[in-house]
Amino acid sequence: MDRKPLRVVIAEDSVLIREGLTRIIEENGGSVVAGVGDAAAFLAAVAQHRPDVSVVDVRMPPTQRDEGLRAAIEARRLVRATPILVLSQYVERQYATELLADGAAGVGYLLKDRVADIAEFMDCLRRVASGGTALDPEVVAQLMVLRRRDDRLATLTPRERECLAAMAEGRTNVGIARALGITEGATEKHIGSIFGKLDLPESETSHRRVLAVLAYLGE
Amino acid sequence: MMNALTHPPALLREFFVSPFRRASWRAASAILLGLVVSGLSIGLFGGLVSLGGSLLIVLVGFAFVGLAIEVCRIAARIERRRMMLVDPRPLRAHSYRPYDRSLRGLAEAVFMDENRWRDVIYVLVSFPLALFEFAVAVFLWAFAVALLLSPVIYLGFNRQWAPGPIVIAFALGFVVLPAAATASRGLMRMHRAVVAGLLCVSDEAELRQRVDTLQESRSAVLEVEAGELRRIERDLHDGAQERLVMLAIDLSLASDLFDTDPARARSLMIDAREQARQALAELRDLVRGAAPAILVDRGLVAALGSVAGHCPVSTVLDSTIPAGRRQSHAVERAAYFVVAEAITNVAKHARAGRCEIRCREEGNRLVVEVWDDGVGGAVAAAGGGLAGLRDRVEALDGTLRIESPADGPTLLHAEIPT
Repeated sequence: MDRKPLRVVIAEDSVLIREGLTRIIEENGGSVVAGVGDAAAFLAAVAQHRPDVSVVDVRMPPTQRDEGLRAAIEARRLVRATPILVLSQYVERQYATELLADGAAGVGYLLKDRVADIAEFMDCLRRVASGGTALDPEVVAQLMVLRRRDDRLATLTPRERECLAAMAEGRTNVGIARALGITEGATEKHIGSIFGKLDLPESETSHRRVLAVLAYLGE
Repeated sequence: MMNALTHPPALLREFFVSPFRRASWRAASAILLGLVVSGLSIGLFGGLVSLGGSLLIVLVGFAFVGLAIEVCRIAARIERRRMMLVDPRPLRAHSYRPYDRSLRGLAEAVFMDENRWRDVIYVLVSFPLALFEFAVAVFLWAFAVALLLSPVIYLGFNRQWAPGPIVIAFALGFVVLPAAATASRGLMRMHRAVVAGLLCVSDEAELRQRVDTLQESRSAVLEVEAGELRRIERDLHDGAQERLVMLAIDLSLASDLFDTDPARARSLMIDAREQARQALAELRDLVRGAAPAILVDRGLVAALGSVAGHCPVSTVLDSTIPAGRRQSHAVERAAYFVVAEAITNVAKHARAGRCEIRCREEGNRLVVEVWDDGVGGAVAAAGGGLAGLRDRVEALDGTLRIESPADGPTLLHAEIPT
């Protein structure tokens, strides 16, 4: 695990949650360089601080709709591919698709509840900061529901399905092995088999792998 | 136009030019035609009724009486047309009871329909009325023609020159002729009023009907909303609230044990975290059910996409509405809940392999449909989810229809004015 302090910008209009996030991040070796409460201030903070990663709430003033999501996409346009982890009380497949649409790495989209599992949350934050992807299991579940009746998906073994879901969340091989409680070798075998059965292009980086899986699940 | 006609000189002018108006001639010929129509219909009606009456004992008689009533319906149809010949403003036919193929259904539709009896009354009334109109019109027109031809008659036949009476008669002709024309139009106006009263839906009756429907659906939708609130209250009470109580208990136990039994305290805190996680999940489901965020954020099409995504049956969304288009909040909500409830039913009961959500705009109406290839047999039972949807849609002046034969497929069709 890399130990250099993570520089983070937080955009969240609820002071309570902003402080909770700040506490978690600073307790775990990060440093919060700015905490803001609306989209405009967030864009300014990203431009000024160039953080390693930003944490953004989907709902923000003035309309309390999806300002945060729009701001995140805008920020990634202004400061090319600045890593952003979007948090939300609910997750929607469509929002995930929009976030990933620019194809660049360093994106996360998680339910706010996940923050409660601190180790997991920090893991996701570091992954996004280093150019990986973190997708909420619930988004992945929505995608899997959509594809449940796909013939090729039906040829996967239950274990391979779990692997595919973990891969879609953005986990590395090591992460998948840890999450499923299997060895790294077994994980590699499963993934090779999934790529073969689903006709996915093989890829080394975890982010490219996520895009391939999503392209398959989301079409 | 109306103002000009209420002005006396204009009224007088209109009276004298009335013989040159097409409407007058139409009215006159309509009166002639009216005698023929009402004479034929009352003749047929009388014949069939007396034939039927004499055969009532062998039941076949009822068929003849039924036929007689049917004759009246046809007569009513012709009469509405005849009225529109003179005055093209539309007369909308009153509606008849629908009937099915069974003998009982047919008999009920023919003998128990108030509007069919109105047709019968009309046929009985219209014959004397038409006779009267005919007599008045023929008398006036003939008299006017006679007066106008008086110089010819006098000079041609009597060969005597009586300037006084001839001039008076001829001049009188110029008054009686417009009187005949105006009277023809007046008579037809009167007859039209009878037809409109007996054979047509009036705007007023229709409005009253609409007010009744709206009142019913409004109280129904208030019921729906109140029921929804009760459900949310109950879910909160049984779900998240209980979990938060448990969480508070776990936390206070943990703080008591913190020094004496750290291991136990730790396991209590892990429990507390689990309670919090589940409370959050339950709250999220509750909010999704009551006010789905994506509907508010992105509108109907995006929200329906999300509904399709949550359905375990493979579901296609077929929408011709541009993605960014927004309707009023009430319309979007109603359409959303129609689809969400229908999809829930498909997942629970239909045993379907395939499901389709269709969504389009037709004129100023929003149409949503949910189709599935499942087992069918869906009905909108009172108090059930589908009946609640109907209330919701009708409260917005829309309509909801369910076609679900046994063995399927099921189609739910809702139209909501935007």
